[in-house]
This record gives sequence, structure tokens and C-alpha cells, in this order.
Amino acid sequence: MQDSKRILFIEDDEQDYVLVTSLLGHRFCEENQISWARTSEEAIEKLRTETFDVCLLDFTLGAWTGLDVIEEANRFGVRAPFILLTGHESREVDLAAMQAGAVDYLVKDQITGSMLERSIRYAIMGQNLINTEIETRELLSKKRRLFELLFQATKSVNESISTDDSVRDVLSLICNYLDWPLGYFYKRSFVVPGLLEPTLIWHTNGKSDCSGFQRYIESAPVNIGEGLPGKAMEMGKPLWMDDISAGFDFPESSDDLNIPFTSVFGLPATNDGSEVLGVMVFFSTARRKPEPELLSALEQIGMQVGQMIRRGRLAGELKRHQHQLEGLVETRTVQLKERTKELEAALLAEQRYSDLQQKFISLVSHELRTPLTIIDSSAQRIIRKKGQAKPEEVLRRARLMRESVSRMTELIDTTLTISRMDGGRITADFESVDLKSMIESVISRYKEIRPKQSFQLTLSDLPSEIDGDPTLLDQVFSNLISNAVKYSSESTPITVRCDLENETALIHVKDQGVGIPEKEIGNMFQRFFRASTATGIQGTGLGLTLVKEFVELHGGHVTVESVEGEGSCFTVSLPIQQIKEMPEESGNDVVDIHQALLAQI
Amino acid sequence: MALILCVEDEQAIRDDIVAELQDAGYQTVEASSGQEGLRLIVESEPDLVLSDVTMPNMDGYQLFETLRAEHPGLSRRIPFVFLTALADVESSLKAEALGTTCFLTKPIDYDLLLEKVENYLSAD
Repeated sequence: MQDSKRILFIEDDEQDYVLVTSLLGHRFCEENQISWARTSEEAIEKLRTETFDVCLLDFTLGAWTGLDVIEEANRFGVRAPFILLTGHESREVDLAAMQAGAVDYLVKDQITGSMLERSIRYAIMGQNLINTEIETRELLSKKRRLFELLFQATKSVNESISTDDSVRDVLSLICNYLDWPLGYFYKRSFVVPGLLEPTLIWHTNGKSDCSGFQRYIESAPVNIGEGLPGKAMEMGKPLWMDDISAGFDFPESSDDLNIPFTSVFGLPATNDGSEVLGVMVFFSTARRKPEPELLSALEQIGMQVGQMIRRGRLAGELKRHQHQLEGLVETRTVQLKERTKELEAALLAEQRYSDLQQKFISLVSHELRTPLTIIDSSAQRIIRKKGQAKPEEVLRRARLMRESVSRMTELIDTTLTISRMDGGRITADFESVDLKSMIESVISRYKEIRPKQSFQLTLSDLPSEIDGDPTLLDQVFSNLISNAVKYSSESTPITVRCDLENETALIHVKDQGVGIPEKEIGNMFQRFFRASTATGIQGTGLGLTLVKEFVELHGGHVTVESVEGEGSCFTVSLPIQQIKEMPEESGNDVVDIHQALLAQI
Repeated sequence: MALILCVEDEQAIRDDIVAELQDAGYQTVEASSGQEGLRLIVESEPDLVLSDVTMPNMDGYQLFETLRAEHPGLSRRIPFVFLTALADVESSLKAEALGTTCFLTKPIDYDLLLEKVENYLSAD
């Protein structure tokens, strides 16, 4: 034997002990350490506290047998091989010894020194082989677990849908591997690069309650270099403290807290080892030192997590950019749509305006042609008489021609007014107007044309002065009174009456004429609209349009009530005083004018 | 002696046309609207109709179309002469599309009017 072996000899008989040791020889006993246990209790105690390479064991040990000792030793994991020595040969004992795990079975009377020495040598060799196998197996299992940890962590990180979930997975995997109860993740601040922000990403085994500690951690950001997480961040390497009671301030100012942990491990999540994107921290109640192999595996996991976070951030940024872009596109699209709508509306307005003008021109030309036809017809009739026409006939025709001329003049005037109005060139020039005199003078003009027409005026309430444009107001009341005369019989009176309501004068012009069908009342102020009851009575359909426009230039409004066949009543509301300058109508924006026109249609 | 119906809503014009026709020796009936004109065509079966185009409710063309739809026999037999203030292409096309015999523009040249009337009546 080359090196010294530790041999435990369990023998209650001193004679047998001496016999056996003498068989082994003085030299053997010198070279090796032989420890003698006289009782089974002593043997068990020695096996428990010391390590032996081999045990020689007497079969009979008082109350115990050698087999009992082997069984007990196996129970607490003694690996040393047992060689059983017995007084006499027995087949049964041999088998039982084998079953109990003894490597050899020798009968005391028959053994020689060399036989015993050989048995010891073989036992030790055999045990060495077994030990090697066990160690190899343990190493393999350890490697396999570590590989499994790496594999699972890599899988979770690479198949990550949510960065937070994957980090939580990795925390769980590492905690389970280490059999540590608590794992936590700090992320590096987006805004302050040297700051670790707390998160809500934990792994807990659910057994130990450390909610107070957890709440504290969640509330405290950590600066780079501060406490274990800050130092791990600074170093960019795993940092393992197997005893934090030794004075490692984790985290800073946590002295008040009763930290229930002994070992702490900080694992930075790095991107290519250069940029720290977060730190995973693990806590344990047991003291444990890490193997270099474990640390290097964990460091790899840290890098994977770091890369995942970086990918997540990049993806997040990409998504934000995409969102911004989409938002921008959407805004532009909406703007374009709005612009298109505006343009379409403007185009439509332009088309309607153009149609309106066409219609206007057509109507005006027709309205002009009728009096022209009358004039021409009368002239032809007189000429055809070749000077033989009766003087009364000539006089009548001259009157007819003048009437036609005035009809044309009126039409031309209205047309021009409308045209100026469309161009936004009509504004009210306010001055003090005596409305009562104005209305009376309008009525006196119509009395000349229709001497039999009776008018009833109740204008005493009308203030002697109101703010107005005399030209425009004259047109307003000329039109309304002209309509009343035109669309009613001479035999029914026309009433012009005034009410005051606050600071507004209400002037009613009422006739008992043809009236307006109910369904047409809403159209009365539209350009060119003529009620069906106006059939056979000449008109352009423009008068009321002007009335409405002019009244509105005064900040007032005009309404109509009517019953078909019974008559109509138009009411003009005019502010007595103009509080401020009327805003000038914009004459530049074509679209505005068109829209104003459209409103009338 | 030929009977001519004059349909015209403007009384001053109608009066003159009627006087002119009577001076030329024609018998006349007159209507101030399309509906009245239609009624008189059926009642008095004139030899020719002189009709204004632009009239409220039922214009000259509508009068012609209604007659053609309701009394095709009369429509085939009685020539129409339209008087129109709207002497534009559109109205002339419309008149031709209706298969109308003739149209005259306003103001009316009475020599031309009498010539046309005489032509149609003698052809008949």
C-alpha cells in the first residue's frame, strides 16, 4: 500500500483485536491508521464523526450484530466498505452480509495476514471505483441542471412576448435552481442612465412572508454604486455576497428593516457586457458560496436578459415611431379629406352659383323681353294704322309703353342691386331715419297708381328717429307695400302697423290678398321663388330676397305669416339703435358669398 | 273663315295679337293660360293655335304635349305656332323635338306672324 489508509476495526473482543492486528503485521499497522471501536455505539459514533477508507467488523457485538452496524451506517450515508469477520463459517451469515452491503466475509480461524491485507486492498479499490462513479454521476447531474437552467432561461428570453414576463420567468428559474425564496428585478432608468428604477417584477416562493421588505424595495430607486444592486450595475458582473450581515449595505439605509436574508446575489442584465439594462437580485436565508461554473452560467443568462431588454426597448421605440408615423399619416389624411371636402363644397357652391346666374340671366332676359314685346307690339299697331290711329288709342299705347319702360327700368335696377349684393358691395350707411314719413311717402306713391286702394296706418308707436340706411329701408318698404298691392284686390285694405318690443321696432305689412300656400311659406325669401298663388302677376322673385338682405344689414330680421286665400302679413324687426358698427361684409372671399347665396336657395 | 286660338298670359300682348289677327280677317278665341287654352282647343277646335311658351303652371310645350297625349286626333290636325321670349337654342331644339310646326320669337313681328299663319292655313 502506497499511502496511509484510515481503517476502523470494530471488535468487542480484545484477543481477537490483537490477533487480527498481529496478522496484519507490525509494518501494516505502522503505515496505516487503525482505529479501534470496542462497542457498536462507539463504532457508530466514530463513523458519524470521522471518515474511514475501510471498516473491519466483527459479526457478534453484544446486543448488535455486525449487520446491524452496517445497516445503521448506511442510514446516515457512510460510504466506507465493510469487511465482516466472523468466528465460524456460515452460509446464511455470508448471504446476509452480502445483502447488507459488506464487500467481503472472512472466518477468523482461516484468515492469514496476506489474505486480510488483500481483502482490505480490494475493498478500498472497489470503494474508490464506486466513489468515482458517484462523483461523476453527481457532477453530470449538476451540469445537467445547470444546462437545463441555461436552456430554459434562453428559451424564455428568446420566445419572449412580454419582456417583464420573461424577466419574471428567469427570476423563477434561477430561484428554483438555487432553491432561494426571493428574486427581484431593477430596471435601468430611461431618463437617468445611472439610476436603477424599482419594478414590480418579483419571484417569491410564496412560503416566506417578506411583504414589508418587498414594499421597501419597490419604493426605493438605487443609484449606480449604491448597495449591492448599484455595485453589480457599476461592475457589470455578477456580485455574490454570502453574508450580508458582514456589513454590506443592502440597500442603502435599510438598517431599520429587519432583513430576513443572509446571502444576496446581484446579476446585471448586460448587453454585450457593456451596457447594463437592469439588475436581478436574489435573496437567501442560507449562507451559500457560488461555484465559478454557476457564476459563469448565470452571467450568460444575465447577458441574454440584457439583450432581450434592449431588443424590447428598440422594438418599443420602433413601435412608438410607427405609431407617430401612423398618427401623422392619419392626421394628414384627415386634413386632406377636410381640404377635399372644402374644395368640393366650394366647387359645388361655384356650380350652384353658376347655375343660379344662368337662371338669373335667363329670367331677366325673359322679364325684359315681355315689356319689349309690348312696346314693339304697340309701335307696330300705330304704324300699321298709317296715321289713322285714334288719338285715344295712341295715348293708351303711349301710356302702355311708358309702363313697360318703367317695368324694365325697375328690373334693371333690381338686377344691378342683386349683382352688387352678390359682390358684397352693399353695406348699410346708418343715419337717423324718420321711418314714419318714409312709409307714408311710399304709400302715397302707390296711391297714385291705385287710387282706389285703401291703406290703414297705425304708426304712432314708431319712434321719430331710428338708425338706418334710408335707401335700403325705402327699398324694403317699397317692396313689401308693392307686393301687398300687387297680390290683393283694391277692395280690401292694406294695413301697416307698428309695435315696440324692447329696443326693437316691429313693422307689420298686412294684406287680404291671395296668400301663400302653407308648404311654400318657408321658400318665400329664396331668390326667384314665386308662390303658386302669384300666377299671372308679374314679378321677378327677387323682391323679398332684397328685403331680407337689407333688413339683415340692419341687424334685424323679417318673417311672414300667411293663409292661402286670406292674405299675408310680413313683419320687419328693426333695432331702433345700432349699438355698434355693422361688420362689413367681406367682399373678397368668393366662397363666402356663394355660401351666403346658397343659404337662400 | 279660319278660327285662331291665341294663348298668352300677358294681357297687353294678347290683346294686340288678337286685334292684328282680326284686322287680317281671322276669327279668334283667346286664353290667358295653358289650361284654358287646352279647354278651348277641345271646345272650339280652332284651325291654328298661337301659343306663348313661358306661362305659369302649364307652359306652351306642356299644353302641346297634353293635347297630343289626350287628344291625338286634334293634335295631328291643328298646327301650333309658338311665341317665345326664350329664343335660345335650347328652346328651339325642344320645339323641334316636339314635332311642332313653327315658332316665332318675341318681340313679335306682325308681318312675319301673319305670313306664317297664312302659310299654314292655306297648306291645310
